[in-house]
Amino acid sequence: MTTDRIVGIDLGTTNSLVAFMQGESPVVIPGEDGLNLVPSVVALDENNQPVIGSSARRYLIETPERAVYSVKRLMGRGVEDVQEELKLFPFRLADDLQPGEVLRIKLGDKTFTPPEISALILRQLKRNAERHFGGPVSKAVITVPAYFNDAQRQATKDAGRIAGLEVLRLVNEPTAASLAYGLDQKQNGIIAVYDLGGGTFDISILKLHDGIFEVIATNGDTHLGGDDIDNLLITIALDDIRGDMNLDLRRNAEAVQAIRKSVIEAKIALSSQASAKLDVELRGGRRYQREVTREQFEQLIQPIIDRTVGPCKQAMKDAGLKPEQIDEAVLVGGSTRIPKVRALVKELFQREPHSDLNPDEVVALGAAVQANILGGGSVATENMLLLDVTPLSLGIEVAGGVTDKIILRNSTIPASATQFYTTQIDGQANVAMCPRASSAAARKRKSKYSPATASPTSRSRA
Amino acid sequence: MSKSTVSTIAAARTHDAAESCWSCGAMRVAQFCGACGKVQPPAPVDYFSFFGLPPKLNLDVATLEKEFYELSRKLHPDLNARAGSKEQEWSLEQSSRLNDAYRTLKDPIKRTQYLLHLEGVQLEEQSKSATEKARATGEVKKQIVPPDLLEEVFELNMQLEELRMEKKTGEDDPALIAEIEKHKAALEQKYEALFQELQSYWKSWDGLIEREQAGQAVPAGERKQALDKMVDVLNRRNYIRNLVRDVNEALEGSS
Amino acid sequence: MSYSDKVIDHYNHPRNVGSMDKSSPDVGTGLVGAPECGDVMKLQIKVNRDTNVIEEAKFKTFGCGSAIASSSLATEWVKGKTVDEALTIKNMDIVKELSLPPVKIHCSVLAEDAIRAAIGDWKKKQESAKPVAAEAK
Repeated sequence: MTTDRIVGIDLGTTNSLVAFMQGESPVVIPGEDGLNLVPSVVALDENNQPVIGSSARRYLIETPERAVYSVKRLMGRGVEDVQEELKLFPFRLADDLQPGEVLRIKLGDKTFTPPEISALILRQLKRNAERHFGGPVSKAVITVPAYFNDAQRQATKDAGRIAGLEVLRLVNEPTAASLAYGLDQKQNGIIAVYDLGGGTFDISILKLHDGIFEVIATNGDTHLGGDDIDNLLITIALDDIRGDMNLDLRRNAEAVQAIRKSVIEAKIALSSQASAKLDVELRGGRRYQREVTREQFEQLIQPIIDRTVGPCKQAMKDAGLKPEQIDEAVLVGGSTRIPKVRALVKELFQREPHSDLNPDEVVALGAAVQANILGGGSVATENMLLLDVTPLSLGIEVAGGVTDKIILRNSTIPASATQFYTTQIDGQANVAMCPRASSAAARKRKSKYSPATASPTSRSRA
Repeated sequence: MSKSTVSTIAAARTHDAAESCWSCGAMRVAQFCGACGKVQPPAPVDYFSFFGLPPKLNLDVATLEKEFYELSRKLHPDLNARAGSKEQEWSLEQSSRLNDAYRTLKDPIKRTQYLLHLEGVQLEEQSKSATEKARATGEVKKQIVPPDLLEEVFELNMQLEELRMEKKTGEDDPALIAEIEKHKAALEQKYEALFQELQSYWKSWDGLIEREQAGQAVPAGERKQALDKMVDVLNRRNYIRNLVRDVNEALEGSS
Repeated sequence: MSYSDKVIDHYNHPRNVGSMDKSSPDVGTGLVGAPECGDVMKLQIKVNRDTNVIEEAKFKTFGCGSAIASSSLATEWVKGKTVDEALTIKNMDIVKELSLPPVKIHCSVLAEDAIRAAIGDWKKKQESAKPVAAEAK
């Protein structure tokens, strides 16, 4: 067992954690600072040495051009995919990026790809685990949002490899959470895992049956999370400052980071208090202060959290289930601490959500459970088996640019499909294979060329 | 054209029985060894045989699920992660075969379509060859679906289009909506009735397989007739399915 | 899913959408379906009695983009052709023109069926009309 130590890692948008199975229960391994959460922040210090986690946070405010956060949003994506992100996040791309090239982000005068930055975080987690065990750690299970596509998953594996970790499996975050939930619940039934994290949203519906965790349907949005709430509040604060104090701070990275810190504190406070104060010290001894009530806050975030409703309904539809057939709704991700989010989940699934688990840690704990199963299991995980699905339909692009779907979304994996194709022209000796993944969202984007005249009727195919 | 599924299974069974476990040498059961539990190299069998089932269409989904879970516990790659690389590969193949078979057989329509496929019925080819025949003889192609059903489908589609146009301009025609709602109820009834009809053909098919299993000869004509009836019902069902879906889409938002 | 440029063009700018009087003796109507996917297609032609030339063609299709494009193209092609010439149009001609992928070949079959059905309907009308015309003389 000592030679085959496998850890479970939650590589999060906001925080990352490493956990392992200690005896019969999974535990999070704390960092040197004694804290379980390692903020997913990377900075370069004055000597160009990387600083990771809590100690990197101060660079966000002091030298924002030498620090980066929420890099998970850029994993596996090209320049053309991230234009929206660039408006909202202080990512600074390398100046010499060619279209189609892997993204590179500037920290000081150096550049890094998103997997390289993620690898720095992973390496920190690896170090924490090695210090804990007093020996090397080289194998890991890493979690990813269920709705991550193949490129995003590949980028995560690359990050593991760069960090010197053999990634035995990528496990979907809500599924991992269900393993941690199921480990001590030991009951059969249908559960819905509602996972609203820092940057991504996933909903998974699972059937638990004598240790089998069968995912029936999954859905989500890889760009929806607590970050969106923060950005909204930052925008409002910047508008306030411009209006009341006649100061335009939108391009002032330090000020924006100071505001960001303050709105996050206010957001967290509003989960337990009726009101909170934004208090930001600006240059020249000026101060921006504003009282935010919970009621105002809830009104503001309503449109953001409402975006989780569609995926939840679609997942239930795909699973062929009605809310009353779901036995438990499990909350995962820091953003589910917001009372308004809990109220929404209660309304969606018509029951009080299960919130006994620590929403920040449950994914990492589940990854540790899966790591234990892969390593041969123990008394606690005996009989446990995870049957996950492909979140996106997979197909082959055929002549005319049409994608012929051969494995539909929510198919249990591993899966295979055989389809016979003919060549396009006589005497053709080669064919190009182009696998494609598609989601409902992608279909919507592509169907923009609806007919100007409403005469012939079109419908999309299931 | 129609290859006998039963003989395929019989062949697969003898093939299986002749082999022994690669690891411990005991008699091999199926996908894994009954004696030592090791995953075995995949054998080319159809989905029914994979579960050790005869190619009958009435099957108990709860039992199938139980069987699926049991086999998953033997075959899944996560539980063979520490085995040798050959075994890991077999485990991946066997497990994906298991998932494909379960996904196909648990769904009554997919199960029927799969059986038709096993029996060599190709829906697309039927229509294409009928067109080619019409081309050669100069006669009008006989439509696979009854003309009155086509007529009904077309008319309802026209009404749906009207409803969509009205919704776009913000108009509201309760009479039209009521009319479509009425159609919808009738369609759903028809859809349900078609499924019952299909199940009655399952029964005749299963009866035929039972006779074969008992060693009786079943005339090829009878076999073909049973399959043709299922093809016919599935064809009609496709139209109704699309219509119900389109009606629901068009009505959504108008209420 | 994405379609070829020609399919998109026909889909966005379908030619000859509409209908003609079904009961007119010069109009042939074909209503056909593709059971594989549940598409329905109605194609009508108006034929000049003296020359047998198809002077007008209209269609209405409920189905996917490829089915709409196939029928739109079919109406364009039959116009100006004689009935016998129109009968030589084969589904593979439509496949080639629109670069339809194998999974959409049934849409072209549907369009060929619709042409044949419309012409068949028109021919039937001419045969039943003949004795009446003879009496009138």
